[in-house]
Amino acid sequence: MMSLILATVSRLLLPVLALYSLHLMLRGHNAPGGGFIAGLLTAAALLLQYVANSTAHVKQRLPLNYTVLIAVGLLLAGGTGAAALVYGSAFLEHRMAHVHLPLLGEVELATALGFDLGVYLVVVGMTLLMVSTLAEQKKEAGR
Amino acid sequence: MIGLIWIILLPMLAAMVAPLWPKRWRNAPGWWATAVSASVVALLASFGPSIHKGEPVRFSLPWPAPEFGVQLALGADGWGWGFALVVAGIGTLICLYAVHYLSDKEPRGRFFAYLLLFEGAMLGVVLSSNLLFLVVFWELTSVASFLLIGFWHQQERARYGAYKALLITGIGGLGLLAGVVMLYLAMGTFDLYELIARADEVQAHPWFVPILVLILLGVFTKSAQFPFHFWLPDAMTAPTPVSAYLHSATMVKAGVFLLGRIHPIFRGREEWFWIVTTVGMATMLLGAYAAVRKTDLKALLAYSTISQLGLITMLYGFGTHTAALAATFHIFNHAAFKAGLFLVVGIVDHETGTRDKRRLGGLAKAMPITMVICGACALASAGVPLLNGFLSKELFYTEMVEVGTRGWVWMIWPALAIGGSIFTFVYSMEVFHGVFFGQLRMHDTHQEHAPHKPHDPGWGMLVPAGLLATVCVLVGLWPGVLEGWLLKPAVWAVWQQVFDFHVVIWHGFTTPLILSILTMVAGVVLYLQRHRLGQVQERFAWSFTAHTIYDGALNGLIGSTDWLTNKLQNGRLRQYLWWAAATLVAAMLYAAAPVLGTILPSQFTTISGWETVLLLLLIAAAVGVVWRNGERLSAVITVGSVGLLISGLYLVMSAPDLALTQLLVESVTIILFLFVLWRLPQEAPKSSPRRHRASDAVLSIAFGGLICLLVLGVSASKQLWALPEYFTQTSLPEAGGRNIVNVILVDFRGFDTLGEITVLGIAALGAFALLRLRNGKERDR
Repeated sequence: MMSLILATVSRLLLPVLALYSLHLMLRGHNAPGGGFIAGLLTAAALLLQYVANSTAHVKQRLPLNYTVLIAVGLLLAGGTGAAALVYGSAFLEHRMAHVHLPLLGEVELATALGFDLGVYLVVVGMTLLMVSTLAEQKKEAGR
Repeated sequence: MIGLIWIILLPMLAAMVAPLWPKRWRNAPGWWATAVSASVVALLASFGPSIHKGEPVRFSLPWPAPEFGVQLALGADGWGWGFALVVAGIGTLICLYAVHYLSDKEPRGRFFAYLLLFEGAMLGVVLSSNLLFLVVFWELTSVASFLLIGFWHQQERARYGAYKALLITGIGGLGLLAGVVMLYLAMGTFDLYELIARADEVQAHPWFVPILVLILLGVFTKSAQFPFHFWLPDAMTAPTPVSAYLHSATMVKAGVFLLGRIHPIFRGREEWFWIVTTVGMATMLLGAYAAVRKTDLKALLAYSTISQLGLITMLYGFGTHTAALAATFHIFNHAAFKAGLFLVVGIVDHETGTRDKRRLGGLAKAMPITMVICGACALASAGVPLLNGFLSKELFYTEMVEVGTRGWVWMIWPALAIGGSIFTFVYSMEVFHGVFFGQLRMHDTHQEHAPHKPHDPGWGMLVPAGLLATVCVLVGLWPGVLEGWLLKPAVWAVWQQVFDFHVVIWHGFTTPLILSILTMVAGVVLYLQRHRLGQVQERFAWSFTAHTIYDGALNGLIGSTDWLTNKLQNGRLRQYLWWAAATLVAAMLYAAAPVLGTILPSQFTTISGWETVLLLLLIAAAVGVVWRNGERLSAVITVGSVGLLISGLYLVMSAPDLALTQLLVESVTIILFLFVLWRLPQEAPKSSPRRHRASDAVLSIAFGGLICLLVLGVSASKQLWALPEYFTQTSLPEAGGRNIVNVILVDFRGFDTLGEITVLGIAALGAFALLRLRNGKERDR
């Protein structure tokens, strides 16, 4: 039961939502947002694709292994924490620096961003893993 | 001295190499193991002069936790060194024998790896002077024993025997661990020598009896003492070299070895005397009596081992010079003659294809060398003069006679001792005379590895057995040779004091000698009448044995866990949820009980206009969820609307992060719900029965009420308001972020977040695995 309008609109919405979630992700340290919220938004945007189009449609265009995504996210979050140990700080102690980037100007970079990125990946991976498994489940049973 | 640690490490490291030899070199693992064991013997021998001088070799390393008394401490005194020599020496012979015993198809690498692992662990037991390390090695020997008994794991009986041995010795090992830890708590040390020096304090401690009982539990299970003796016969499903090595010469001796070790700490107390001697005596009698009944020669030897271990245990219980000497001496003697007997039975089994004593007889002509070896070992076991067994049996009788003179009630000890010895004589004769003399009887075998005409085996199997028999004869003829180098240091280390003694063959015409002669005469008579004896035993056979109890207890345990699992994991989701929620309520109630009374309405903050509107709507929506229990879809949507209202509330209370999160979580949850609902039937779910609804209502109200009270309690608490203050002030300067919520998540409480995302990931993987498994099952159907 596919709706042409929903399918078309969802495809158009995807880049907008993706950009917005990136925005939320990057500004998280100073304004509402962050890895968890951005992750949920990305997941919701992709879920919309699952619902409006089909599992096969998403699978074809997004050849991602969600299990690996979770693992990478956990490693990234744990890794940024462990990296602090190398510099003699405590586990998960963050550092930050102000760097000057072309076009963007003065930008603050914190290791906390790496940690937040890990959170983001885990949230996306978890949500999509559950939903895609459930979706495939339905297909199996409906056969 | 650093060399000590290599004695333990060498076999253990070699065990890792044993399976790596190329498959083409079939015998390589066996020769490797033999060479390693032989070098351990050489290494041990290098400590000989220092032991002879009465100077124990020590080595200690402040590792892994010296502040808790847990450190690697090794000590080779006369007793540990002597026993280590037995372990490594017999180990060398056994490896040599096993090279020729195992058939080509067996996984030899694995076998010798287990054997070397055992050897290392056993050497660890006898050389550790830190009791905690001793317990670790002790358990390792149990593990190695499990692996070796179950070596032929294709056989159901081998698996049964392996489990039984591991369970019984494992339970005992836990007892030992508990006893040792209690000893540490009482005395503040795990060091054996320090404990021996402070024996008076141990004996005066109020925990003395529990410590003693727990340690003895370990000793009795390991050394197969009544009522834990029943695992040993089932352990005989192991290959015969294993039975000879672990289950007669060394591992089962770990218990009596430890008795010898802790003897100076505990001796002299009534409890020690009564428990150890009666258990030992009961085991000795039971083992000797049962051994005669067995038709399988290995089972016969298993019960005889139980009996001999009982004898040794009993002697340590007496706590006198003579008894300690007799016990220590007998441990060495028994290791030699019993291992020899096992090897002989292995040879007979190998050559004829049977171990059933009813099917064997008159093999002397066909296997003369084997017969001579068997003769030396069996007669030593029977206590015939000029062999080593006679000497320790004489010492045993000397002790018994001395006990008997304490009063007429005490006469029971020598009487029972003679009774047990007569049976010992009979079963020893069965192995020797029964198998090798009389009419030629030989089971006509169809087993491929047994030749049609039995003959003496090759040198590889004869030499180990022959060497053990030679030891029996040499010690029996010239006891003085062994005495100075092995026996005296060992006995003095057991007694922890030097005292003078000489083991001699001829003491003159004394009471012990008369008793020995009496035993032999009665033994010969009983052996000749063995058919009648068998009939009598058959008539008094009881069907209720320790095996019955073990099997019953095990089946009962498995049955009751099945029952409990079925009760708890019955597949009813409602019940799982109910119990989870009820547990939470109970836990919250327990945690919140002390502060519940401190919540005062005057502390509550007031709410504004918008908040009131939203809260009223929220209450209405929540009531709607409960009220409309019709279709699933509408229920899900109403729940979603509750979530949306909550996120609105967050917004009004100026928490944009929470509002955003809540909003997104609600959307994703609804989609997840929809995917699940897709699978469920269209019609409305049935209502639960009335009694369920009543209990559900009680639980829901309790849950909601408690949460409400907790929130009120938290917001009424004054201290809590210090936290927002702190975070607002430190967020930017310390973590460089203006969004406090995010800074808390990734920085201040980053460890929590790491834990949370780990849980999320695991939960997702769990759901994935469960759903996939279900799919797989459906596909199979």
